[in-house]
Amino acid sequence: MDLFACDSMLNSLRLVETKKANVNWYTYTHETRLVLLASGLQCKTFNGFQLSTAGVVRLPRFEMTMARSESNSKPILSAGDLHLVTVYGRIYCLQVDREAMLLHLYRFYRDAVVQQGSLPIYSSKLSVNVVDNLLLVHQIDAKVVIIYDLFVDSRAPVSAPLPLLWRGYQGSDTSSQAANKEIESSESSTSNENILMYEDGWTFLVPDLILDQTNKVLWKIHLDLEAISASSSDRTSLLEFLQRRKLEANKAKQLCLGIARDIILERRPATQVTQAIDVLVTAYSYSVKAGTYKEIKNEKATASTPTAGASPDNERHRPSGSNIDEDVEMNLSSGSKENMFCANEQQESQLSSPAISPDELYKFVFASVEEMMVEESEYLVAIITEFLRSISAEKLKVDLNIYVMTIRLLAYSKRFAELSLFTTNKIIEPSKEVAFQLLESGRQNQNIKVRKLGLDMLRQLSLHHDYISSLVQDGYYLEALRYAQKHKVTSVRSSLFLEAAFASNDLQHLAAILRVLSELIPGFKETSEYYTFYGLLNDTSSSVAV
Amino acid sequence: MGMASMSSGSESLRLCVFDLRRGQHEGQELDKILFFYPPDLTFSTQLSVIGLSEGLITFTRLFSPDAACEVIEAERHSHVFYEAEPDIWMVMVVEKNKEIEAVWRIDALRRVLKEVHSLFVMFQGSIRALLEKEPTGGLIRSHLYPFITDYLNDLFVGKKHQLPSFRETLTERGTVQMLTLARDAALEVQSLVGVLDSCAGTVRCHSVILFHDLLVSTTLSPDDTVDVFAFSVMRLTTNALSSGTSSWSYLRKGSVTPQISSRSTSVLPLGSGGTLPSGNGSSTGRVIRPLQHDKWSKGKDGFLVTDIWGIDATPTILIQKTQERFYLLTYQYKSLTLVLLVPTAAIVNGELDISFVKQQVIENASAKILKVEEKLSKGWGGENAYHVSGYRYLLVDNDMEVSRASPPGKVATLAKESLLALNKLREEVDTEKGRSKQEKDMEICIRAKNNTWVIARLNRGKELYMALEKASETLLDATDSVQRFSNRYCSGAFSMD
Repeated sequence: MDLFACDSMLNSLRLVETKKANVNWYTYTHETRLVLLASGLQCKTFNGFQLSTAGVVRLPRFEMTMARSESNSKPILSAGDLHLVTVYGRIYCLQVDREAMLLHLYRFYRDAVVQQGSLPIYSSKLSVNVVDNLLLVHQIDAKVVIIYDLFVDSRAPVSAPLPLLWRGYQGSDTSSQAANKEIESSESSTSNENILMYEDGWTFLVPDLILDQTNKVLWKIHLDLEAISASSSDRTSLLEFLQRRKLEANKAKQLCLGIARDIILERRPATQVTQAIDVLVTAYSYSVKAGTYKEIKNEKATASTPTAGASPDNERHRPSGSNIDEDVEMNLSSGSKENMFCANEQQESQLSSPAISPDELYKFVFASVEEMMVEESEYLVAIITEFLRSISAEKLKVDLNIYVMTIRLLAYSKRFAELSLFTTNKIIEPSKEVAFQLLESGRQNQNIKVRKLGLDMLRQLSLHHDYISSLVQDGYYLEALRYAQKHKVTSVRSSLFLEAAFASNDLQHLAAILRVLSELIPGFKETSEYYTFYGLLNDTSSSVAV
Repeated sequence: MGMASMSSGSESLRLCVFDLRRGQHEGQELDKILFFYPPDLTFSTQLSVIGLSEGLITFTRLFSPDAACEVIEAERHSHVFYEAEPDIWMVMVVEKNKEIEAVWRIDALRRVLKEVHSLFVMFQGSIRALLEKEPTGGLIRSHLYPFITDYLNDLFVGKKHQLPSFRETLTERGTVQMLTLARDAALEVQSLVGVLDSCAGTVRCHSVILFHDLLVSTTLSPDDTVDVFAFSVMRLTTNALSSGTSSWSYLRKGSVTPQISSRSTSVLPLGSGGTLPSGNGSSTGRVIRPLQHDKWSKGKDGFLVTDIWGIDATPTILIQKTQERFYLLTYQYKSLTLVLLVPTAAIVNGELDISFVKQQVIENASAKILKVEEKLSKGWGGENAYHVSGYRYLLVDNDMEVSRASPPGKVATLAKESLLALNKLREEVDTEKGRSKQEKDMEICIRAKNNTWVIARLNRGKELYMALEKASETLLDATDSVQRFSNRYCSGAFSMD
């Protein structure tokens, strides 16, 4: 047989090249731009040509393996037993071996064809689709689909076999049942009762279409990530799986957040949670490096920057419509997950990657479980430590509120020694907010050591004003004034010092403070404050003298 | 045996523990004595020391009921008092002798008493509790005797006990020395701590991690950390195990000579043999000697083993803060020592459960231990890591009970006069601190006779002591140096102008 490789230019066909080969049959898919020519007695010897802009690339000849049947008759491979698919940008050829009941995988490299394992099959009739880089193997006799993710080395299916279900496009109401897939075509919405799954009239088209000649419709296959995650038990690999999903990035993301939350709330062993967190953090780090996360990052940034400094109260009052994240928080507190997913539907189109930034992890996982886990703060602190370790290993940053939260949790369980270690080792990164939380926790627990940690932090951050105010609050007004004098800080209300000294009934101190303040603040001697306290000083001292 | 001549001959140290609530009637005075060193002194001598102490305590309590007598400075002796538990006093009598460098700082001596008492309580529980358990006093005496004797053996250098003299003025007993960690190392350590915490299932364990003789992490309160740390450095760390090598830590004196270990074993029969007024001499089973020398070694699984508590018996310690008992497991990998404390409440089936916990540690934490050790070794600056050239310093954080000092090798280069001046200065500061319970801020710079600046700065619970031998002439230069040091190494904690 002759093969004509042609190029279409304008409206004419032009013969570019002719290659001669012995061919029994051929197979071609446009998606892979690959032609495979079968030859030999069993039709298991193949020549491959890939059409590219640079011309026709000839692949090395290779043989497929075929098990011998018992009768010793050699089975012959037919064109229907071969499927060419593209997943993660790699081209695979899948070959059905009916005798062995195996589906052999061949991966095409530039200059080699390598067999990469086999998948068991459970049906004599078999077809293949690809959705979102996942290989769907339809076991037609059994009317189920087994999903494989060829990205991982393991050839185990992603989940248990799932049924194929019909689902209307708009029908988010019907999604309550554990469904797998199926979206209708453009027109002709046949009533769903009439449709039988895996009818004889179905033709499977790569990548994700099914032509249903009986009902005259074209089906498009759609993954139900919720159902898949519900039928998978290994959380870590499930997270990895979800992080690789591109088509429904947002749903995958929400599912990941949900899983992360659940494993913490279920108090799974810390090692498991650590693995899960590592998966999410490395996936994020990778997607930032690969550039897929960038676009949303800007959008996220606008949404989350105002919260950095704002107190949680302000956050609540922001118009919830403008911020999807807000909705999630609200819905979570009302305990309805179903709504949460819907609320995020509108954002779906904008997301191109399910990667979750550390800030989002903090906000939607840690902050949202804090209230429920407060009695188990030790466990939560261990998890947060792992999270911090993970993001530090990837050289990422996180919302400083997580440090504020860590202090709260440590103080709650009265682990002050560790709180001090966390602070001095800078596991808790210093910031104004962190310092204030230390001061606050110190005050609540009447732990002067914790307060000092906060004060020291303020000083080290050169937050002079706050440092001086806090010192005065603690009654160290002389130290505070000395510090103010040294650093020429005039923003602290002078009355603070004066009142503190007056309250302590120490006239010498009061006099000294008046003198220092009049040197420090220009024009202080003209203020009413000066007169008031100067007057007080004179009155009291004279009365003492009398 | 040589012991008698050694202790009473050249030995000038006397140490006693007595209970003011006991022996209040004539003829029963011996009842008060719970411990006396040296043990071979006659009862009348022992009673005269204790009688004097008791008299002074009673007298001074008239004026100061809360804080009675702290010290008597006699012409040739100093008597250092420490009320270890209510009405249970420890008194140390040391001989003053300038020629043999017997110049002490009283607070440093008191800290020796405090340390031995804390360690005793950690292993055996409080003295009062043991007295209540067995009112004749036989039980407490049989425990105190070997314990304190073993402890004193650590101070034994040459032919006498070497107490913390002025040479050790730049150290602070009863504090912890910490390793400075980079953030990533600290995170790895904390991650390891998290794993160790959950090694016994749902009941939370505690852990104290050391690298060489420095503390890396703890989940205990500062007081408990100090005790576990002190014991670890004395007996558990790699340096402690390879006895014979000298350490830079004040907690271990030079080499432990075989003579001493034979001596310490000969002590026990002597003690229980009736030198002490041990009442009816009722034996309450085997007396455990937690501080016994050369009894720890590393097992095949990486855990340290000892037969002090019996064959295959794991020691337990008492944590002050919660008054709970914990099994003490020690795992060692290279220079990393992990002290894991498992609540006794979590252990139902004794050693069976403990070996399960050990298994958990090996299974869950091994990888992390390796990683932590690698990180710490990489960042390890050696014994002189905290040397700051030009400075000889001691930095104490009273809140965390942590101290850091110039390495002893560097401090040894100071002139004797500088050390004596600094010792004197510290003595003054101690007195000043003792006057009020509140924290005091102060700054003292003194020029010693040899033109060394000795400096003390106290600021909000942190203390800095310094000797600047090479400082130039003026006071201004000296304070500038302190300022620079404070900014650079103490994040400005001592910057007060």
